[in-house]
Amino acid sequence: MMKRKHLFNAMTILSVVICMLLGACSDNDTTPSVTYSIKLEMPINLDSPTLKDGAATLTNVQTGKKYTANTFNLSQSNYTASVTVPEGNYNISVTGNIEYQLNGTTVNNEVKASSDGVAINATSIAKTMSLATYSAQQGFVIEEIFFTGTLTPEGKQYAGDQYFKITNNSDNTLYADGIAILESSFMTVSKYDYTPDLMSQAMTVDAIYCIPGSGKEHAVEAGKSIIIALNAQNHKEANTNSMDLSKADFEFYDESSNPKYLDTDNPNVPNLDKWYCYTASYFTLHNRGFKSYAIAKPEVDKATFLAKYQYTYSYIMSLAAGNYTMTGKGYEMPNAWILDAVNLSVSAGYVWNVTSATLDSGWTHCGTTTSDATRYGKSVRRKIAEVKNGRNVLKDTNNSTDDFDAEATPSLMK
Amino acid sequence: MKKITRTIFILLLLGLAACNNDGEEIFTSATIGLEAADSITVQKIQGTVKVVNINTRQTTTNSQFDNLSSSMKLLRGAYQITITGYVVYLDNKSIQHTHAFIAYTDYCELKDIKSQTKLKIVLI
Amino acid sequence: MLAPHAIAANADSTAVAEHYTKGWDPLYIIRLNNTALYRNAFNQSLSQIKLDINYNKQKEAFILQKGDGSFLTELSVDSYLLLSKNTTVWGNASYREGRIQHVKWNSTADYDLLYPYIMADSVGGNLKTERYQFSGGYATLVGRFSIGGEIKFRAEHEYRNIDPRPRNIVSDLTIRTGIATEIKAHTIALGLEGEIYKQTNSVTFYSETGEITEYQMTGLGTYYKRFVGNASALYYAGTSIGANISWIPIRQKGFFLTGTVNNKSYERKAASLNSLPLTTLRITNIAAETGWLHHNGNDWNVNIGLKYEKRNGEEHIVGNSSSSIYPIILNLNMYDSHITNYYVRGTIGSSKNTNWHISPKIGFIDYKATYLYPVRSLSLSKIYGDIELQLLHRFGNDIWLNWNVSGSYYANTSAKMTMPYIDMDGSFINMMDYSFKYYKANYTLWRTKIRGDYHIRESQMGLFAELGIKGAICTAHNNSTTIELAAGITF
Repeated sequence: MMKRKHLFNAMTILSVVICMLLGACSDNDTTPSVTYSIKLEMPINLDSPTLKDGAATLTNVQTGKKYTANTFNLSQSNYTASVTVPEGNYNISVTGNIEYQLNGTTVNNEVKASSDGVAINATSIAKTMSLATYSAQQGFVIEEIFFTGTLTPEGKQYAGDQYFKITNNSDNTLYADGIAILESSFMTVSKYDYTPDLMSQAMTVDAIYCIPGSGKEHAVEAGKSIIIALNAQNHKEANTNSMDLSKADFEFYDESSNPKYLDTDNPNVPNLDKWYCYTASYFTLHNRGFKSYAIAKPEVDKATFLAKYQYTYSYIMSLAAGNYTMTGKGYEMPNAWILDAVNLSVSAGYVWNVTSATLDSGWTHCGTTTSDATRYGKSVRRKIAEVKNGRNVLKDTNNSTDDFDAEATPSLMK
Repeated sequence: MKKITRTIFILLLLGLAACNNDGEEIFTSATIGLEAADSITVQKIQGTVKVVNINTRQTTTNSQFDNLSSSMKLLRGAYQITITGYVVYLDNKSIQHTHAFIAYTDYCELKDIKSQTKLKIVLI
Repeated sequence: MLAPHAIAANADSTAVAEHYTKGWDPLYIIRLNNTALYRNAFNQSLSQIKLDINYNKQKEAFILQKGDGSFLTELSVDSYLLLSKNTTVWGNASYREGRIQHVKWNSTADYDLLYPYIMADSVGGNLKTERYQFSGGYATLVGRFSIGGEIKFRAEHEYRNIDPRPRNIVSDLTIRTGIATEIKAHTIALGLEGEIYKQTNSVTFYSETGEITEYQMTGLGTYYKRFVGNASALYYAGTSIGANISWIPIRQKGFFLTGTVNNKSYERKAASLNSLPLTTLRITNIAAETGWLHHNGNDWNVNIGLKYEKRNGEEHIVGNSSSSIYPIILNLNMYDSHITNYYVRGTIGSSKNTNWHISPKIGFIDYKATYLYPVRSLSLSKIYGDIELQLLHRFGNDIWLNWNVSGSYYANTSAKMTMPYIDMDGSFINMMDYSFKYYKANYTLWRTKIRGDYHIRESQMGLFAELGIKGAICTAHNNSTTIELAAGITF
């Protein structure tokens, strides 16, 4: 009787010990290495492209260690390099220089490509990366939008100092007369299925302000910019954290119907020609960055546009109480007239772009949440692609995610 | 009785101690294809597929095209897909052109173990 | 133990000795967990009103989400009454309020229950807390069966008066039933338990310049990216169901076995997104203990046991959100964790004149958590030893002194954490590295508590006072001290 008891106790204790050892599920500490190939495809739209030099950097997402492949060999019009790395997930970024023929001249171009979260293990095939080049749009682009406003030293919001910076990104002098500045009707943080859905052909807008002039009054040289301020004043007088916009080239001005909210007018700065705005007081940019902006060159005059380009859209709003059909009115600006568009959003709220992907397939931002306390005093600024003939050529691939520096220091902030 | 209890107890312990490794299938093998307008015959596509997971905001890219489609292993879910690049095609007079294109959708469900979608080529 | 028992009304103060000195006895814990067995947990009735003050201070927080200190005051009434030789009732009511200091990365109440599916921000702050608890139980002998039932209710309110301002309200209702009967030399008991849980959890900001980001955490430092900052009003709804079985010797000599299984499921819904369920957390708890005991004045027992918890986290993947509808298109089980605690424990002591017991324990803890994609994991194991001494001494007829002292050491035997550091924000990297530093440290814990009871002659009443001190130090150069003072009356 006693013996069986002891045996029982011993067996159970032994099984516990075995379980302890089994229970310690230890991971295998040695990670096998893999030889991985990166294949660079030359752009098919270029004549006789060759890779002059290239470097691929693989950063292990977990350890942060970087591995580089520098030696690219040509094989069947593609360039391949190999690197030995431990198995894992990697962010791959490639930089290089290519040379190609254009109208008999040899042109050099810097190229970049990147791919995040690439899983590399024994069964991985080579990673193909396409080295696309771009041709900068010849014309005006939106270089900067300052929409967040600033904070006063006491920590209060100050909204008067918003502005646009529009730049001539071409090699020739262009004229800014007649350029319309547009704000989207829809917000990038809430999506409805609008009927009719015109986005593939036009941008629906609720604010249109045009630079005045007969056609040759406002020249802008190659690489130069104009500033269009919501209020062309020296805002440093009211808020030491702000900037001096009294030297702006143009100013937004509205005749407010609300005596409590009157717009200010700097008589030394020409006002934009207001075609339409939804507001009964005065226009301000959406300071959390939920609306998208564009510049366009309408090919009809103001009267024709206001008469013929308005449309009514409808959509269904679903609430707990039921489904409601809502309607709205907006102006449709044809995509063909739009020179440049920038979608703005925040990552916490982003749902969709409110312009066609052919105008802008990405979006940029200041702040990450829908009411971000850290967004003030920042702007979105277009990146510089290269310096050519002494002027900055701005990056414009119609993708604001890639083309803009988000949360940048405003260029007019001194 | 004691023997049975003891056996059950040991089995319970062993069962729990085993390394639990079953991972449910959370990935999809997605095939993203391009379709061209009837008036053009595509000869070659070169471009980059960029998919952004709507819920995790993770971006995955792929430049490997097999004819008109690209295969990717992705987390099952809903995606915004942008394909940009160049297309070499013959027009209806059999003249070859090389043109930049974009194909885009702001919402596409890739939620089955094998999923696919087709996007229209828009010449830009 | 089902035989009719004596009803004593604390005439000679031994009730206190009986009610508060059983921590070493595995049978006492088994009786506490089954309402039918609780009917004869004690031979004497006892009621108590107690005021308790608990103060804790850590050099820095051991667990960020639970803060680095607290000051809590509680007033409670407990009662265990033998109504007749076959029927017992018991009840408890308490109110606790206080503050918890410097809670970070957690804006949700009941963190230990709901992690990792909580709302969090990197700022945090102090929290005020209030808790009401009520419970009532009843058990009686019906023929050869002891049948018992209990209802427990907890309401808790947690809040902060500066930005970010969480306001969390918990209501938690548990119903337990049990049945027990004697078979030969043992009592076999079965118990069932069910719980309904709700918490409303919201964070608001009064500052006009905007909000601090609130994250919906989804495990190991990940969060639901799509709704960042958009879902700062949540509610949790959950249920749990559990069962227990026990086999205990009637005359406190012999083999015993007990097992408990519990399944819980909590849904986290975003009130501001049309009650979209973002995630579902499923928890399974299994506990089992078996051993041999011999409690007849010269007491000894030896037992082995295990405690196991598995957490599975399911994320609900949302589709096209036009028209403010958020349809769920897919569910993915992204988070998985388990913790297992195996131990061997024993007691040796005496319940005769001077009541003393020494209980050594050794055990092994194994923990692993994984997030499937992008891959993150955390695993560690510890071996531990614990020894506890309990001493009860009577001075004259009217004064009892009950002293407990214990010490434990937890040594880490393995620890590993894998994170996609390159893709993480600095504040998240700091949070995970901080937590890992404390997960893998070695800990020394000690505790002592002394309670003195004074029985007022010729009456049913007594007075008591308690002083307890707890401390912890670890190899990550941190320490914690807790002081607990209590006083009250028994009757």
